[in-house]
Amino acid sequence: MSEILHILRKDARRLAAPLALMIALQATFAVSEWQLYSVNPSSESSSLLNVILPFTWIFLIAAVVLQEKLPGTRQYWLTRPISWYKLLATKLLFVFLFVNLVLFISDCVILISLHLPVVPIDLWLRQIPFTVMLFLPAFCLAAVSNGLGQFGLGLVIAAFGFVIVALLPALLWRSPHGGEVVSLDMARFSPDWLFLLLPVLTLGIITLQFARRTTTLSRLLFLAAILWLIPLTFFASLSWSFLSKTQPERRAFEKQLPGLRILPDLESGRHPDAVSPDGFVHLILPVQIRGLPAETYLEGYGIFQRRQVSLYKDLTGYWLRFDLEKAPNEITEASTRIDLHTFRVSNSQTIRLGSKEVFSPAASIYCLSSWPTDGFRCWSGPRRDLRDYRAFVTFGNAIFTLNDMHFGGGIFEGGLTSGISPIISWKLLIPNPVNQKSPHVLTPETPVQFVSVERAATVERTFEVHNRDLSSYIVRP
Amino acid sequence: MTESLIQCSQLTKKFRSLLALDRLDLAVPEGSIYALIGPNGAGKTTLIKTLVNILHPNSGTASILGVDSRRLSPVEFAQLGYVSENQELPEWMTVGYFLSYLKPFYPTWDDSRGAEMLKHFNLPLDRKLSQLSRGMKMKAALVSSLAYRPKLIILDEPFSGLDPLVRDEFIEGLLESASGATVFISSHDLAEIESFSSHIGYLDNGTLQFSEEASTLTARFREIEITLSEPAPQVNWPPSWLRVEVSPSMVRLVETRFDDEQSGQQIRALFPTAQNVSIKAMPLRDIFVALAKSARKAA
Repeated sequence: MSEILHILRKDARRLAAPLALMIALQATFAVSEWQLYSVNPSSESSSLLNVILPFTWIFLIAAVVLQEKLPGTRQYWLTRPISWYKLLATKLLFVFLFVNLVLFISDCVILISLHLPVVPIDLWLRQIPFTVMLFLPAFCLAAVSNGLGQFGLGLVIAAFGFVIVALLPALLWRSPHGGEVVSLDMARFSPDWLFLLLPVLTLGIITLQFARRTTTLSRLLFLAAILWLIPLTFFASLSWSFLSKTQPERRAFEKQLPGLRILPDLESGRHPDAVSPDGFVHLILPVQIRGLPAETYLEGYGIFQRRQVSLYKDLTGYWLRFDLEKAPNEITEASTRIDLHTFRVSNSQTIRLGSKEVFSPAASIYCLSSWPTDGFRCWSGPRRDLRDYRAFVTFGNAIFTLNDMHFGGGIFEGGLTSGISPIISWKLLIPNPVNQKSPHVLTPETPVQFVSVERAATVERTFEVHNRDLSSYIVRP
Repeated sequence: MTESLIQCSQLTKKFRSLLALDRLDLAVPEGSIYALIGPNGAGKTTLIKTLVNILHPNSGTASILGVDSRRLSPVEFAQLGYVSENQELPEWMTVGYFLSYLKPFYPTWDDSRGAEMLKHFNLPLDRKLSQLSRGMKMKAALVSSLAYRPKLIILDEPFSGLDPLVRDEFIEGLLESASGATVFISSHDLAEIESFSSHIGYLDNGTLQFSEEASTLTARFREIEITLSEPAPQVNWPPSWLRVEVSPSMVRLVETRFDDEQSGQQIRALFPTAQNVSIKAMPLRDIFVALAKSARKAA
């Protein structure tokens, strides 16, 4: 252990300047997060630090690994009594202390300053995506690089590979149904398997390289890992339903859904919105959902005439919204295959709308809204029940319900943390009740149910309407 | 029987199609100062890097300090001093920090010896390695490799690029501090090596041409000049003769297995009319040149 600490001190001394810079940036980020939610909560986070800090981490990891670079035959330390596992342990400890721990402390500072509870396990869990997708690959790349220049080149190549990995499924996931992609449904691409595979691969290559310094083999493995991930991701994305079926819990839940149907309900009339709020032409059909188990939420996506179809619910019920390129003269057919994503309630808390900050101790959520309100903004610390682990964007698995209406732009997109912030935030617009069929009176005490949900199962269903005049369901800008 | 601190058996190292070491057998006795000589590209650095586990052999075995080179652990490295001409040192460190950083890794680190060597080499402790001249860097590397009294010292072309004064200081420091240790040194500086090496090995094209004590080597090589009264006969020269140059009145050659009596009889039998036979001892440099030129001609 003393040797590990000895090398660690040497590395810290050597990298004192970049370390100081990184800590200063981290501190600046903590202050900016505090300002964002306490001084001017309505502002949006656009901090450049969300980009700069990850690069600083990567550089720091590369720099510490390259202090005792592994490729090559001229390094003085190769013939010194330094065992490979102690060297590896030193480098990993450095990353833990000066990247993970600094991030953890920064998170604590942010949460404490915002009066949010600090749950250490949640803060460590939130670092898993960073560690798996960023720190370990950077460590691995540095271990097979013979300098920062080569590391930078490798980073560009790896980033290019990652972009392909990340985008391919998003671009192609609808190809089994035909039609072009009109939106990026990140929920479709679940990299659970990536989280398992990547650390195994990177740690394996790192160990091999430190133990044997077989640089050529390690580089080939690293390259193969990147190249292999591309088709594997593609395959996994296409066979998502297959993968989900292999998971016992989801399979068991799916057995409860044989009666789940999405049926047209044209008799209930057209949507009360007379004008399309987003400036596009939509066909909005009322639908009935049958066979949905209690305490289960639903969202759905499909394709119609090469454009997106989405299922949503508001105060008046479920609606199927077809995006259209332009308003047709007449429309009598609407059919699509829809992927229905189901979510089970895992936790539920009540918060109240108000003209000032509302703190819900049980839910550990801060909310803020003006009054009269058209919406509000809420934020929470990292919580396991709210997380859907992704690489750089954390989706809050939660919805808000007001009476029977859930809102917030969908389940995943309702709350998210982008970049490196530990805060999950929701900016929610409440549809104007005046325009709704069943009016709701909103007061500063109106209870809003905060529901955290977990992904349950995805099933595919067909929706069809034939030989009916649907023109009156068209909503124009 | 003297133990060998370095032992190679059928050691082979290839770089793709290039055979750098070809079934090399070598034994370096404990306590010796073994000089490995050979032309550029002979495989000296490859051999040394294979010995210290920087490179891995394709076949055969190499052991140092009684341990297979592929299994060298910190225990063996703590008894091994290695200095190479092209070694990358941590240039950001000062000389003082470099030594204090390395010290905890060596249980046998001797501060007084380190201090003596620093004084002998006149090395400034507060100077960064990046600010040192090449000679000073080599001296700093040597101090860092001798301060813990290693049992085995391996030096790869340590004099390369050093001016004569620095070279002398380097050798002086080495010999003073390495007493009792086994030294394995590769060098082109044959004049210097000759002055202190006890054993010499000649490596060419990855093959060890010979490996023997320096005294027997210099004893068996002689430059012979034979003055003739009539032209030399057209015969096959003995295989132990190198670089045979024949002119109408003179034959010059290098005898590689000189023996007073046998070599004299051989010359008298081949040149019965020889008027004069001049036999001169050869310095290591001339032996090296004769061997290298013969090898090149044969190739």
